[in-house]
Amino acid sequence: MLLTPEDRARSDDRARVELARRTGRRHRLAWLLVGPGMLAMLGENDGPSMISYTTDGAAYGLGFFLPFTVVLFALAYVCQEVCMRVGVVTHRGYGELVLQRYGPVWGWFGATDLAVTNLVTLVAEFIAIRVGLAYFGIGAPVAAIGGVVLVVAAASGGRYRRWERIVLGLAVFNALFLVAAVLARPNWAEVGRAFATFGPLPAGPINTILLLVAATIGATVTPWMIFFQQSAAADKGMTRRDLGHGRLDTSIGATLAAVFGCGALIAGAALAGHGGDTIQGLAGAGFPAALAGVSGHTVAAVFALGLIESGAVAVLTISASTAYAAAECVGVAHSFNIDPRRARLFLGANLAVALAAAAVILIPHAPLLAIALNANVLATVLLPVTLIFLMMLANDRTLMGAHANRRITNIVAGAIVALISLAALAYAIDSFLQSVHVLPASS
Amino acid sequence: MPTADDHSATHERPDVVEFLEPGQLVGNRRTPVPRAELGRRAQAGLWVLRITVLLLVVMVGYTFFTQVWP
Repeated sequence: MLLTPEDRARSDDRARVELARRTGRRHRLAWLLVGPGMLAMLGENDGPSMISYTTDGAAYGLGFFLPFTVVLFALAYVCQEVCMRVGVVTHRGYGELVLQRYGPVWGWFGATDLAVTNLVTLVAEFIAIRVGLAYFGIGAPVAAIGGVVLVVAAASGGRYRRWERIVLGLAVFNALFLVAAVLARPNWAEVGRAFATFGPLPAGPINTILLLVAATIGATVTPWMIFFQQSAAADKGMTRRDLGHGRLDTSIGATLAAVFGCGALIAGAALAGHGGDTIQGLAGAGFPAALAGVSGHTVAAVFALGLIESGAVAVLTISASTAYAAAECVGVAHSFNIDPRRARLFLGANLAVALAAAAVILIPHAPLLAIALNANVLATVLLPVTLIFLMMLANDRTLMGAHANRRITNIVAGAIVALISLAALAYAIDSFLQSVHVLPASS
Repeated sequence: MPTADDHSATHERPDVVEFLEPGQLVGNRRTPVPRAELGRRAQAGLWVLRITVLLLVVMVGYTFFTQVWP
């Protein structure tokens, strides 16, 4: 067996892990093994998501959506734990496994749909970066160029570990939303009451609320998270011995993402009763400016910085998921542990999708708001398919051996997959019926 | 599988192999996993999924384009 530089790089990383394990350095071991789960979860706290949380807070105040956000990340943990386990046990990415196990039609459909969905989502991420920078008087070209430079810089080292640590270093700044929440001086008694009672329930037409809930559930897990975490766990070189740490990584990521998402909601709640329900989110950089008027410039500045971070991290993780899917389906090298000259398609896809999205935000009169607001609907095509195949892979004893889903996991995960898939389908069908005017447009 | 002409390849090194599972080696990963043998129910389910996806692509595509470019 001839070994490659990729094998050597991955082995170097594994040697560090084994040394930490053998010497009983538990914290160092945890530090070495966290990554894919945290990045998937904190990457899901992307620009549009954080603005969505803020919108919920501004429109409905402190109530149902606070504990609901925590529940959503608990659901996301279940799905992401499954995909982590499949990646760790099989050492292969999601796109690669689907293509090889279930045929090229499903493999290529998944990769192609993911690429299209990711491109549109990345436009929304660049918009979020632009909105954040606009608060500081910095224009769109800086957002576009900065995002692309970040993608190139993070991937340029030829080591997965380096790429991961750069993105993790950025992702911790998702905590800025928690800082903004604290600085906004919310009524903490109301926050506690909301978590304890899941109330008050949002007011408004029931079908609007149900659609909002369905859309939110349907966006709990996005296809790129599945593709990304499974491929990253394999690229990182995790093994069966690391499954416990993989679960720890995923659960820490889910917890932090839930806390920071709640932070954005609490910060947005400062606008409730101050015309917060009329702010059009991504349009006109509404939220940072509105927060400045209600809670002061410090809160607004922290919030704007958070938007920049959330968009930037998502640009990195979503671009990576596109690269993994594309290269796995073509059957070429798909790792950050390779000299960039030997992973041209992988790194090329990583850069190309970010470049394309960055270019869109520079097009005059491009319907950016509409693109950003409708990015989620595209994910509803791929999401049920992704989750179903994930469950099939996780139950495949030929691949997973003793680490296949247990009966209880199938019951719990199966129910969650069904709930998320049905919510996504409901959102898609409702959106379609509105677009053909069978249903009235929701406000 | 890497060949002898692959300048990036090195010969087997015990220290490298020690830290990696066989399934992690690039050479082994280039061997595709075998195609799944699905039962009739699973195949029927996948056909239902294909039809559902086709309908979704049409619906969602239409929705997206009409809302972005009304």
